[in-house]
Parts: sequence; C-alpha cells; structure tokens
Amino acid sequence: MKKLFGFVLFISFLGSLAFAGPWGIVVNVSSRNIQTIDLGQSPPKVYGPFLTGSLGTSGEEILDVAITPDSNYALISNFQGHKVYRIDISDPTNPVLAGSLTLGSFYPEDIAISPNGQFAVISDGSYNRELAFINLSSFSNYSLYTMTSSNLYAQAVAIGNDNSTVIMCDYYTKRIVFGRVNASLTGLVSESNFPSDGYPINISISPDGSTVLIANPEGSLVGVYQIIGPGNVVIGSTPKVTGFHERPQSIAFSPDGKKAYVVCSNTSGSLLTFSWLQVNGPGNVTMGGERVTNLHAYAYYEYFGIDALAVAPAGNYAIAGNPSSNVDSRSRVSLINLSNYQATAIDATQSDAKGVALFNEIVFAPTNAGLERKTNNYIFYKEYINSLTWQANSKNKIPISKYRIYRKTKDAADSTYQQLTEVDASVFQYTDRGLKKNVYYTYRITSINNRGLESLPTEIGN
Amino acid sequence: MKKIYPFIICFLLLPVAVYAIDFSFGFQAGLRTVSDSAIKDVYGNGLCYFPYAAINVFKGFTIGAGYEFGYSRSGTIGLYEEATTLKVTGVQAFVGFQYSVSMVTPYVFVGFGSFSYTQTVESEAAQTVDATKSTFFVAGGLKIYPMKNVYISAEVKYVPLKVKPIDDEVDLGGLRLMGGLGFTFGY
Repeated sequence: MKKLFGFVLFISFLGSLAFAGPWGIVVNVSSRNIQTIDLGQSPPKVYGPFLTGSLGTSGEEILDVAITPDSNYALISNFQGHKVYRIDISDPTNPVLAGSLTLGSFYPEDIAISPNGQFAVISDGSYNRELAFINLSSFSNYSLYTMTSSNLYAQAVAIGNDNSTVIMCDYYTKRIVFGRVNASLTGLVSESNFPSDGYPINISISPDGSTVLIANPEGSLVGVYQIIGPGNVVIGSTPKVTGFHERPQSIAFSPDGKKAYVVCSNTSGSLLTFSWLQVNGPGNVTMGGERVTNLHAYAYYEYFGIDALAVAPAGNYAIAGNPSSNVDSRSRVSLINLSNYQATAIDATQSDAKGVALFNEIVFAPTNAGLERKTNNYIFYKEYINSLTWQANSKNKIPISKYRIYRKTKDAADSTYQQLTEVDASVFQYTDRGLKKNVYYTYRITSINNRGLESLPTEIGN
Repeated sequence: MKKIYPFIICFLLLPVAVYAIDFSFGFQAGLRTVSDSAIKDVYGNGLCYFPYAAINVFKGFTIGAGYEFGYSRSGTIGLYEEATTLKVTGVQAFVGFQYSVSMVTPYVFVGFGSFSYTQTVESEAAQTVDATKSTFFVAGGLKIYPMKNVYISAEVKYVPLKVKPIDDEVDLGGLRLMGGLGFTFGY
C-alpha cells in the first residue's frame, strides 16, 4: 500500500489558541483571595473565592493584579508579605497557585507586565527606591534595580508597548520617572525624570504606546505625556486633563486607543465615579464625559498604583474594583457597559475587591496534527483516503468536549472551508474517505471546550 | 433480461435445425478459475454453470449458444476489510468442430461472449461496478455417449476478459473446467 505523508503547515504558538470570554479577575485585599468573573454570561457569573489562605497571612494585603499576554497567568502583589504570586488562570473556574517570589524587604504594589510577556516590573509602595524586575519565562528569581534619580521613589509603574519604555511615578516628590529596560531585563538605562503637575498615583499607556496618562488625585487631573522613543517621554501637547470633581485613581484605554476611562475616588465615602477622556492623538487628550456614571463601591482615599479598572478586549465592557484604602461592606465590583455607561453591581463579588484585570479564556488547538494519504484498493478502482490524527493540547485546563474538523480544497481560499464533522474529545483521528485521485485537501482541526468555545485551528494538508 | 438470450438464440437456430444432422442441448457445471491475483485473493475461484444448445450443421461443424452463470463470490476487500461481492455472467455463442470416434466425440470451439460483471462493496465510500464486456474464447472437450442420444461431457474453456470499468484494468478471465450431461436428437 503506497502511503503518502502530508505535511503540517506551521502555525505559530499564538495561532493555536483562541480567545473567548472575557473573564475578569478580582483581588480581594484583606481576605487575601481572588474571584474570577465570567463576563460571557448575563448576568456575569462569579467563581470563587479561590486560594483563601494561600495568598498571605493575617494583616497582609494583596493589592494589584496583572495578566500575562497569553492569559495563562495572573501576577498578584502582596504588599506586607513582600511577595508576588503567580496564579495559573488557564482554567478560570479553577485558578491554581503556580509559584511565588519573596522579594526580600521589598513592598510589592503595582505590577506591570511587558506586552511581549518576557518580564514584569513591580513598584515598591513604601519609601523604597527600588524596582523589582522579574523574568517571566522562569518566574524563579528577580532583580532589584535602585533608581539612579536621587531621592525618588516609584509607587506606580507601566511598560510601553515597545517592551522597553518604563514609566514610574513618585507621589511623594511629584515626579515622573522613565527609562529604557536594559538588555538583561534587570533594570533601566538612560533613566530620567521631570516634575509632575500634582501628585501622580497611577499610570496607563495607550495601546499604540504613544500616549501616557497619569492619574493625579490631589490635583483632580490627569497628566498627559507622550512617548517619542524607547525610554523617551515628553509632556503631551495637552499637558493635562482637568475638570474632574473628584480624585482620578485608575485609568484604562479602550482597545482602539481612542478613549480612556477614569475611575475617580473621593475622601467622603461616596460612590466612585466613572469618566471618560477623548484621545485626539499622541499626547493629546481632552475630557469626554465627567462622572458619566457612579460605580458600586464607596471610596475613602486611594491606594497607589492599584489598577482598579480594566476594559474588555472587545471594548464593550469594563469592570471596576475599588482603589480605596478602606473597605465598605456595601462595595461591589462594577460592570460598566461602555456603550451607554450603565454600571451594574456584580453582586457575588466581595466588598474588599481592589485590583481587577480582564483576560480572555483560552482554548488551545489540538497539537501534533498529522495527515497520511492512504490508498484503498477496490481492484476496479482505488479509493483515496486522508487519515488525520492529532493529540490533545495539555495546555487546555477547561475540559475539551469535542474536536471540529473543517476541509477545503488545497489552494482554495480560506473562505471555502466547510465543516466536515465533529468527533468526541476521546477521539483523536478522523478518516476522510472516498477521495478522488489527484484531488487534495487542507484541513483545520479545532478544540471545543465544554463551555462551547472554539480554539483557533491547527491546519494540515496534503 | 439477459437470461433469455440463449432461448432467443435457440429460437433463431430452429430453422437451421430443421436441416441439421442433429440437435443437442446440455448442461455443464464446474470450476471457474480467475486469472487476476487480486480477484483471486478477494473472491477466489468459484463454480459456474453453463446450459447450452448446439446444432451439428454439417459433418461435425457445430454452432451453439449458452449462458454462463453461477460465479458469485463474496469476501472482504481493502484496508478496512469491507464485505464485497463479485458476480459474473455471460451469454456465449460458439462455433466448432467435433469428430465422432465410436462412443467418444472430441471437439473444439471458439466463441464470442458478452460478459456482465457486478462488484458491490458495503461501504459508503465505495461505488458499485456494473458493466459489460465482450470477448472471444476457446474451448475443447470430449463427449462420451454411453447411450445413443445421451452423452456426458468434459470441457476446458478459457475466457480472456480484461476489463477497465473505471480506473484500473482487471483480468476477469480464467479457465472453466466443467463436466456435464447432454442429449442429442438426430434427423
């Protein structure tokens, strides 16, 4: 029997996974646990709390959360415990602690992860002039970098989309500090700084890496800056956005970078408010709508650096925790519909929810797909067969319920792919029979998890 | 429909028979071998049957016709060993010479036949093969007359039958090793 082996078309790692969701993750500061929120359901379904007892001891607070670009891990800072936790969130319904680093006497506060996922920079929320750099490929060690700018601290930190520019802000000295990451990802070079208009407390960088917004609660303003090159930051053409009646604390850009959203705190125990800014261009930002809605959390001052606002990748929703340094039992995480700025409380969340982040649920495509061309001799004629095989992707934590197979004629447009069949998750092969001589096909195989979400395809052809 | 061909041929031969020396009909049965190794592997050799009628028109020259049937074999085929059946039948006309020596009459024939063959496979991926192919053949044998009008026969026939209904050429031919019983009516 003559057998012809097909060849696998290389698909990049990212090409093997698909995003759906999104999901939210919430850090509950004083109960030291997390919750996840399935925003794909209406109303959002809250899971957890998880990891109670694993994220520090009594008196410690977990503050900020940041998600790796592949949505596999969340990093969470424990201020008093001097720790950074890594949580495996590939199954959002069952987050698992996947390591921790104790950073000496460092007080982890704000976490920034580089867009390429290679490293994280963590600020010290205390009076400490160090930044912690963590190589995320191993998450086994860290480097402390002492800022060269004299008498400066860094309570909040952000990384530009060039994976190089790092911006910090120092509330106490009212300065913006910036520099480039060194080649070993352990510190900064060309560090520089300039004064801030007021007390900077938190930083957000636009998706295109050009515009920097810095929340300034004391001045009730948002500072506007522009990144003009790696590690090179200038004051924006609109230096600041004023007109806030309250205290900007967290800022998040829309995915297209045309808007930015602001959560404002206060000192009176009133509800947080939500405003939005119009991004007119790099370093050019104006007020869009101030206090367009109230959020469902009560504010009493605010933490440094905690990112209490996250926008969904599709740009349709945001969730907001509470950056307040106090806990009000009435507070809940808010879900904000960004098309009409209606905010609803996500009831099952806890009152001490602080840092929030959004991430996409991942379904990984099957791996090691193979194709064997077989010939079945019926004597008077031959039947040609494409025998497909694949393996389960061990990265899938949410159970896979089935695999879906698509087919198109070789060299035809991708739009001509048609679904051939679905097979049970326990089946790892499919035989496409009855094929004609000299007619060849390309196949796509996807994973479908038990929530009905489909991965990107693994592609194979002959 | 094809099964009535021998009778039609016999009917057409009747006017000739009126002037014939003798008229005979008989029935043979025996082994039908297959030449093609793939056919042999899947379906194997089988039995076949051959009723016929013949007329000795002049000094041993004979013409006749018959219908071969009975080769219907089943087996399993292909990678998945799916059930399959092959059936071959054929309408045949022949002309030959026979020479009587006492009780024994040896004979040789050449003929022309139209063979129908059908292959079915129990698979959704398979297609039914149903086709017809005509071919010449040769045969030789002996008739032994233990009684005046009754004979028993032994015959070897070779039918070459290469067919290509779809993609691949296959030799459906082979030998027929048959014995039979016949009756002769002289005028």
